Amino acid sequence: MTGRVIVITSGKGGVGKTTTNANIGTALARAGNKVVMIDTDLGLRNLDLLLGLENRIVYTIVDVVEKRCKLKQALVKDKKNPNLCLLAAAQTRDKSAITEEQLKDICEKLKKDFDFILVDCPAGIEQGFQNAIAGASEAIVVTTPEMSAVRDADRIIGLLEAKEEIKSYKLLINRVRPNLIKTNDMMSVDDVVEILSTDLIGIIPEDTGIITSTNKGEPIVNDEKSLAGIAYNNVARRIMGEDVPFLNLEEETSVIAKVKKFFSNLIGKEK
Amino acid sequence: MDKGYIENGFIVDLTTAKKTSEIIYELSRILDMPESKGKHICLKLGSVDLSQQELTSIKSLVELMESQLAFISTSSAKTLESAEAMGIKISEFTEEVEAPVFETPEAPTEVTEALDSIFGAEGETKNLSTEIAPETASDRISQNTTTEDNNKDDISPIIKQDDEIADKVNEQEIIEESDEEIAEKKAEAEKLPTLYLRKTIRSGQSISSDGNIIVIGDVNPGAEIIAKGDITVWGILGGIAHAGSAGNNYAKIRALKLNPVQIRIGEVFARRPDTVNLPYIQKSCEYIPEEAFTYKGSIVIRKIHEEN
Repeated sequence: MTGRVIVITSGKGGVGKTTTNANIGTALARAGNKVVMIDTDLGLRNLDLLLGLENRIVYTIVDVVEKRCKLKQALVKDKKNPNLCLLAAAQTRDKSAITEEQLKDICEKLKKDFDFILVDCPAGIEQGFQNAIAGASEAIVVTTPEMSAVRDADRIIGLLEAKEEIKSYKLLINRVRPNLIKTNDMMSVDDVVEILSTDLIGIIPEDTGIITSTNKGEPIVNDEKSLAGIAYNNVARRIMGEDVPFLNLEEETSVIAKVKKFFSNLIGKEK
Repeated sequence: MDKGYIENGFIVDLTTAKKTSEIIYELSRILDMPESKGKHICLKLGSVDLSQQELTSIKSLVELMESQLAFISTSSAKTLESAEAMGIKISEFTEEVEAPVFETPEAPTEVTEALDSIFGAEGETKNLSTEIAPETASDRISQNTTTEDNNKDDISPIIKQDDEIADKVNEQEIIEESDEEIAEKKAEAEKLPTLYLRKTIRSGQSISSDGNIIVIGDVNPGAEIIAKGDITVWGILGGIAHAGSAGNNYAKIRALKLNPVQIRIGEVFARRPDTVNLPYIQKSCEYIPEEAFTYKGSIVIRKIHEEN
């Protein structure tokens, strides 16, 4: 088995890299893939929290590279899904504790046993970023429809382009608010795609459910009613090669709008 | 202070204004420039009679624009009276005053001079926007907010001109260099090698070349392009572009849409006006290619129409 190593990165912090990682990883595992997530944000680890696995971490990636444990010992299995594993970052160390070569080596080893290796990248473009992309052959660039996030994503894409090992990179636009786009207060998805001239892999709507899911340590993809969960599931399916249409976020969802639509449909039929 | 000298401020000469509305209009125009923020303003008023109420509104306008009204001078007894009642300092301006003086602000050229006096210290660009084609001036502003005043473009360091005007401007060109030198410099770009790039230049990337640069794609904000010769972008130029980096003021920068943060040609520099400060602009198939060149030490942008 040769797994695909996908790095999830953004440049700017707080756009939802870790949330994306946790949800895509969970969705891929739910679809029957063997998935491992590597948190490379040494010193500021979060991925374990989002998955609710904090209390199970015994060994971290630093223990692996410093040979205090075997790689398999450091993999933390998910609570629900045995297909999903986490290689946690060390909270007590910083980015210099591992090197690009070491991470590349870990990715190579994991490729044999897993279908997908998702690397959670720290914010910034320093050593942490360089480490995270070292072993990857694909990348997902997460951005939000804001100037600053788009600018940073542009920078990151430039750096990914310069890296030969990265064969493909896709754009994921997070925290989209259709009602703000409608009133021209937010950049539209099309605007962002045009500026970055990069293929899109997903559009995730802003969802308050993300906050509760983070607090609970339960990825939102497990909630089938949530729009963000559905969107993340679709991203996972696209990664697996399926052709899934993008969610229509423009649709009016208020009760009044639905009633209006119902009646307008009726009138349309009568004619 | 009473002699008319003022620290961290400047004098606004409105002696030619005949009506209160004129005063307010010109004042708001000058105060809108980012350089006048936080400065002390000395108002030089002519014979206009201002009531206490009118003077209050002028004062609040100055404060609204984040400046301060230091003192005023006037030849009208009524204005003097209302100013005294409001506790505004009155000053007699003497001829020896060595402060940047804003000349009669009626025509845009004078506003330009005023701008020069601010920019002058930093050696920045001069502005020659005597005749701005209205449609090109409004072109960019309309993308910002609908409430923008067209006149604001008059005081912007990057000027848009219609090609007709630009042609006129070219004919008038008077420069100390000999004709041969000019011809040589103008033809320089043709002799240089060309770097051909078919990709998007992204934030943080810097492209420099000893020849010309052609980019098929966009140059995003945060990117930088430096060429000894000309720069041509088949897309939106949104970053920093420096043509003629070895000092050739006859280099040109062309793009389907020029929206650079900064533009430099040879030793001339211009930045995007604050009024059209849009980091990203929407792509459209209706763009008319644009060209930037220097004229009398300023950078002029004109649209390249089919006839040219």
